[in-house]
Amino acid sequence: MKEIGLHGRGGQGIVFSGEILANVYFFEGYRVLFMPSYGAERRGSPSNAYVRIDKQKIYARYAVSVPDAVVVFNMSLLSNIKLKEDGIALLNTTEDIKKSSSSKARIFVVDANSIATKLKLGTPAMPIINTALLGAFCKAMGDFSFDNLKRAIEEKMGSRAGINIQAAEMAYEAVREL
Amino acid sequence: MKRISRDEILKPNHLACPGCGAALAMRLALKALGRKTIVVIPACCWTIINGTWGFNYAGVPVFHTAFETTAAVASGIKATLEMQGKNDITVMGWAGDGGTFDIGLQALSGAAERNDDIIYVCYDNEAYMNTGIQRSSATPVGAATTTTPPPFYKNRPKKDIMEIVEAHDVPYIASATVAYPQDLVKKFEKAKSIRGFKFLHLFIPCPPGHKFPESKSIQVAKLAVETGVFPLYEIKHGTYKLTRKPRFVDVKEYLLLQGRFKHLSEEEIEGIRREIRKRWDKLERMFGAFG
Amino acid sequence: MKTLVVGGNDAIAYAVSKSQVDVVSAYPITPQTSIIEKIAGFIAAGQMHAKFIKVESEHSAMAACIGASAAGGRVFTATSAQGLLLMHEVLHWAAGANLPIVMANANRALAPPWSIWAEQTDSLSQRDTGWIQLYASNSQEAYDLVFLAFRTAEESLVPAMVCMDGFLLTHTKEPITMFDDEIEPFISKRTPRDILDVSNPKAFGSLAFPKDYMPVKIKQHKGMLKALDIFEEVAGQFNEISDRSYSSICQYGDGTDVAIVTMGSIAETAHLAVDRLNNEGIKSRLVKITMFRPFPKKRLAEALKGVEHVVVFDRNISHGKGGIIKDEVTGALGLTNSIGFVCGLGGYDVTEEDMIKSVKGVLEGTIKEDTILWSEA
Repeated sequence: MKEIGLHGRGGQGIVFSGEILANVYFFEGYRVLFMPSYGAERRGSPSNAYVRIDKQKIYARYAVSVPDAVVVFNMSLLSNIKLKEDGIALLNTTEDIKKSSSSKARIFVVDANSIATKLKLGTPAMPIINTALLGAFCKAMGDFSFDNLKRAIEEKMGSRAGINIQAAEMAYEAVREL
Repeated sequence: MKRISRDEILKPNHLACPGCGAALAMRLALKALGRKTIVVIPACCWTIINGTWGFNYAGVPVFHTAFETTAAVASGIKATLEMQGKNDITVMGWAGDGGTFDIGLQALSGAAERNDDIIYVCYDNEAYMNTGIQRSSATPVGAATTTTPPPFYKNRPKKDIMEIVEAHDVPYIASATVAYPQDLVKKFEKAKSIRGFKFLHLFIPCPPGHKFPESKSIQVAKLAVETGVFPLYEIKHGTYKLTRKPRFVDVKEYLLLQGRFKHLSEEEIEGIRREIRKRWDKLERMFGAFG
Repeated sequence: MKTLVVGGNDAIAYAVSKSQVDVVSAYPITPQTSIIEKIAGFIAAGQMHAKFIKVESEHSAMAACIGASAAGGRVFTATSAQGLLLMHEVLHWAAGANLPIVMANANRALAPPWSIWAEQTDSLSQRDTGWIQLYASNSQEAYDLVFLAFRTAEESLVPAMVCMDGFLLTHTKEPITMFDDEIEPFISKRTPRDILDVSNPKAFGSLAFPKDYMPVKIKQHKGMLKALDIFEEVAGQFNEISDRSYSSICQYGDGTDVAIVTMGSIAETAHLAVDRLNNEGIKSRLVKITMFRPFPKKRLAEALKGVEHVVVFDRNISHGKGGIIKDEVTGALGLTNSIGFVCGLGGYDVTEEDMIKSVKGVLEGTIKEDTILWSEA
């Protein structure tokens, strides 16, 4: 079983991206459980969602504590995020991050904000970065096909799918591993 | 002269007290509405009047329900009938003043706000009579009840239920009483012909509760109207219409007939006169506004 | 049939939209809201033909259901926690009036303090109201139980609530297999009953003297007991069109060292505990309760026969006594070998690790009494 955490702030589309991701893995033939984390949310407060995937039925009905992979929408939350030692992290950032040599984790970075802004997704103050991040995540994880991501975006977004798929494609190309 | 149906839907031998205005009101209401009527009755005198287990004196289907739920249950019944295409069946909530002014007010407000297609009747004997004459917010100023025994008789004014319902913008609101049966029947027929939420406020004389001899029920109800204590009027989509102009007989005549007012001093009676005038000043402006 | 990744609440709404419901009357409360929002959406889109009475409180929600059902309609509502409590009086009314209303309850902890997370005290504290109580351990069950609830309720004339853990099931999305037309013959079956009928005017619920009241209540109780068998029968018919099986009690494994008894989504987690215990040589089984009311005494006794230790996990609490499931199971079966763990209150997580530790404590004899699973650490 694999556990994936999506971390950001309210309004960034965390829950929506989690739903798409759950569908992507479902199309890949996995069993999935998508669990948004609820509390006293509002715009700007931390928002988390988790996806569990497995080839067999998933029985764990409690929160994910240490995921195998995380997507970090907003770097200000980094200190609160847990990740397995050898996990995969995708960070939305323009910062020049250096990875510690002792770290067994695989770190990927992409500037999803500028991709979204370039495509006029959302506003410059609140760009819609979730689909871009999913595109980058596809490259980083390597366990689901871009075609299935496309399908999930199309099924969930209808007329808005086109431009979001573009964002995913751009991020897929732009993402790099540290 | 209004012709009232001869069909006696309310069956004899019901369990009302002798002289009960509520039984007479139901008898007249059913004559107006006919047998294709379903009645919702919360906890109130009519819970008993209709008969105990195995009896149904109303003669139409009756659903006894929890005290505060009349309007909600009626709305529910109507919803199913509408889904079944049975649009010729009237659903009537028949609640006392307690179940309307007090504990039932929320559900009433909800149904009125939704404009649910029901007739809500508040048969108002001005106290919780079924449980032994305790005060409700419909009890008039000056009345003695078991929870407002003199000198601590009810001293807060009666809620203006007509205005409360009017604040919900519903198609038809009317007051009536058993002393004027043709007027009452006409108003029920009018309500039946309108789609949407209809509210009827009935003044109900109650011999044991108001403390007068059983034979005087009609006289008491008549005086309630003729003194101006209980105005008979309609509000149709916000337009106020007086349906019977009172002679403004002195209220003392009305008060003296009832034991619940016997402790009142001259000053207190004068206070009641003032309140009647105040109310009618307001009402007359409303009637006048609509010609 | 199709399998889609949907949330538990959505699944309920889909099931209701396929159940030929006439009237829905509901009031919003977290975490039920998306059920009624989706239903409203279906009705607006013409996919569901029902009247939705947007009542002004849960008390009125159930009252309106009562009216609608009494007039012969198939009726649905949904609520949670505080809303369910507000309905308490009228829950009794619905059951006493033999009205086959179906309600979904999102199990949520009771205030104060305010909580929106999973706990079963809300519905379990209504266990005396005369309602059938079904508990889903995952969202596929929640979906299926709606159909089973309508049929069982109507054939037994007992209202039924389908309970599902708040957020853990209501908001978690998972693949759920949903019907197209296959469900129609099953759900179209209607059982005739006494309704408000102008051509046959009767009074419902009049004042009954003791000699009349008692037989009515005895009939109500017996009717509820019959629902045990009716549920199994209906589940059998459901199995023919779905290949999914349901029963009041579901047993996984046949180990005799220990049986874990529980209800709701923690039963899924318990599945993991049982697997691990068995791998370690501790012969265990999971006894999952799907129908809590009427109480499936016989089936439960069979499922626990020959088991040395019975360990019950209660995601609820009856203050001053303890876990409700443990209490009822022990009392009904006269057990002397049961220990209960109150856990997960207010949505606090319960993992298979917690369960395994608890079971081992019982087996090793270090835990000899009912315990509350809570660590200050």
